[in-house]
Amino acid sequence: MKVVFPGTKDAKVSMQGCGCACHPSIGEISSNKPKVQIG
Amino acid sequence: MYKVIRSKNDNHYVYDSISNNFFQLSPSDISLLEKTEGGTDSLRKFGNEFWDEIYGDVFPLNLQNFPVVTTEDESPEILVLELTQQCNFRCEYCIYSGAYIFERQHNETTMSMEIIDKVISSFFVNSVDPPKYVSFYGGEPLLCFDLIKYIVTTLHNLGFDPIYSMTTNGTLMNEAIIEFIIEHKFNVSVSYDGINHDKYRKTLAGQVTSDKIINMLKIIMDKDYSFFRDNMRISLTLSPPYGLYENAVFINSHPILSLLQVGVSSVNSENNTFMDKFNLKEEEEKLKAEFCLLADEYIDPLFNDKPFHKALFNKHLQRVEMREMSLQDKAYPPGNCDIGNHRLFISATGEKFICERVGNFGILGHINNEIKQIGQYNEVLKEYKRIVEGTCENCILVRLCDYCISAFKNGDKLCDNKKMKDLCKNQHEWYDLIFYIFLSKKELS
Repeated sequence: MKVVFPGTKDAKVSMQGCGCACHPSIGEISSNKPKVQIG
Repeated sequence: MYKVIRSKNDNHYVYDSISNNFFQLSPSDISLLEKTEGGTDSLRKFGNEFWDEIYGDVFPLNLQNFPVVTTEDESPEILVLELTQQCNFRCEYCIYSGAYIFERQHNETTMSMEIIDKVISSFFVNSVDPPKYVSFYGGEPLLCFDLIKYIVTTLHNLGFDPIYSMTTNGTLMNEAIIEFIIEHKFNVSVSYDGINHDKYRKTLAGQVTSDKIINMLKIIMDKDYSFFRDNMRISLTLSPPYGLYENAVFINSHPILSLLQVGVSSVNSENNTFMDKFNLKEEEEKLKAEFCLLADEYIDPLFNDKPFHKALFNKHLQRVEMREMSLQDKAYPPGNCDIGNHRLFISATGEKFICERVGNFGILGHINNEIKQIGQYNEVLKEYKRIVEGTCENCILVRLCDYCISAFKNGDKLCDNKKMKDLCKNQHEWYDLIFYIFLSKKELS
């Protein structure tokens, strides 16, 4: 059984078009900001 | 998890969520699989060489649970401002029409200058990472064009020029507004409902609005064609009688609308009285059949540039095309929106929400709070964790699902397990169709 139609190596989580139809798909999430554990 | 999928040419494939791969099945491969879907472990039947090459020693899976974390600062990439809760339209299906038990109704509340100045000071002047995008929302934001002008001009004078966007019904556009949005390169989404437009989208006085909107689009097209093509789009809300196929033919052949990017969404069928008057079962069966018809058409490369077909399928086809090629390491799907970090909605009264779609769920504080309300972020994140934990990790769509919090909203809280199951069933049916289109298109290319 062989792999066909591969995706994108090292792809980031796709957030474009996050479901809010009334706004154009703009930007990607900024994932490099410092985060704090809160729960 | 794995699932067998058939293409239009009747070739068979397996999609596997742990490796995020598609495998082509030969007729002898098909006979090795007892079921059309199941655990990835069943794919060991294809031999050690295959297994070791793809999975190595992946089991037992060591999956990361949804992390309840947030950034230290409150610096969203997209700031959505509800300038007014009033509108010059009274669309029957609108969530602010009074037909929705958990939503506000149109009223005269408008964002005050005090709140606007606070937004500018908190999110721009005193922020180390100001928003890249500002979106004007309502009600109808063009009822408050003076406020839009004030915000854009003030930010520009302070050295900030974010990318602006706006959702509008388009009927209040005049020459001055058109010149302003062209000058400031606004992205403008105009609500236009195709064949049903004049049935539901009427003014406060009950007037139909289709001709006025098409005329407005033509004026902008004639004035600045590149702005029209690059910055304008239409947003079509499907409501019963859906007439999906008829809408596709209408939009794709329209001399003006077919030149624009189209977005399609549908009216929520729950917690409102608008949908009560329709035979929803019949409507939904017809809708599904027409989705399949349009999917079959979209496989044909001749339909690649049809705006309505693209609007229906492209976003999800791209998610499949761009999927990450690595073994599964998370127990939750990629669809959550990095709460408060990606997008933040400021209501006309200054409350902060995850986004404009969550209603009373997902409040994150108030513009007058001097510091980020970590406790409120905690409540929202914990609730989302409750939704995804234990449900998503063994789902075939865990690598692809784009449901965000607004999908799980039920009234003013997040949904229970029963609604979650219905949502997941819909998502599975939808991705069956997306996989079918994806594989069939790939075979042709």
